[in-house]
Amino acid sequence: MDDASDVSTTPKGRKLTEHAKESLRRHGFNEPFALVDDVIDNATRTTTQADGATVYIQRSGGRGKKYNVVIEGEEGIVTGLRNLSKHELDNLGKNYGFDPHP
Amino acid sequence: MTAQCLLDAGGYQVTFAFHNGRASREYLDAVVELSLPAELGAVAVKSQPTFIAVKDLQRLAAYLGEHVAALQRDPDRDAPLFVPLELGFQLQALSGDVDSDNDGEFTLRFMINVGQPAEGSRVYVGAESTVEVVRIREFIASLEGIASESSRSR
Repeated sequence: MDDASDVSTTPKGRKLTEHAKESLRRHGFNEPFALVDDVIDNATRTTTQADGATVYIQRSGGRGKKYNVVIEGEEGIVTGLRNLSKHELDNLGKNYGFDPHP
Repeated sequence: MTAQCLLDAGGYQVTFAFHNGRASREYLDAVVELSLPAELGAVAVKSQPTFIAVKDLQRLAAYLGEHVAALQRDPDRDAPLFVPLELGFQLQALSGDVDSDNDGEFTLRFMINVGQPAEGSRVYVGAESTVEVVRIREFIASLEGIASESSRSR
């Protein structure tokens, strides 16, 4: 479970950083990480972190009250988080310098 | 690299047990444990294994140092919530009485992420108590030491 994935790109060819290969699995993204492509391609919002990384935010959950997030930097996909609450998303935005509600 | 960092908040303790991630050296693999002393029931809860960015360790040290400095000007200050990118824990430094960079105390609320039920929200378990500034200084020094050691090992 904690070993890094052997998958180095998403099904649509987006490169995964070494960290993403470990962290995506830990955060409930299953190989081949098609959900990463889905969050990016069907993002409800897209914004930019203070360090320049792109943050893709997609509404999720049965009632659309949760959020899937994928962060992509210059080296590729940095990480992803599933089913964030609004409070968690807002706090990530405050800590990482992005507006979660652009 | 394996290392531990201890935050002694008087009524509770938080222990960060770190080791280098296998794939990325910018992140440390960690388990965060929150524990209460025997007189409070000796409860101990561990976080899910989580990654913590070295930058987040540096950011946490700065967050606490800035709060100690700010409380000397404004004792009513509640700092914003601190979260690392991977959400393995969260903490908030609250108001207090701080007379100098090494003397005083303030309230610290600390929560650890114990997991997430299938398709549910993450569950955080935590504690709140006052912490002495001298203990915060020790914690900051240990965070900076681990961040520095990790940076050198890259």
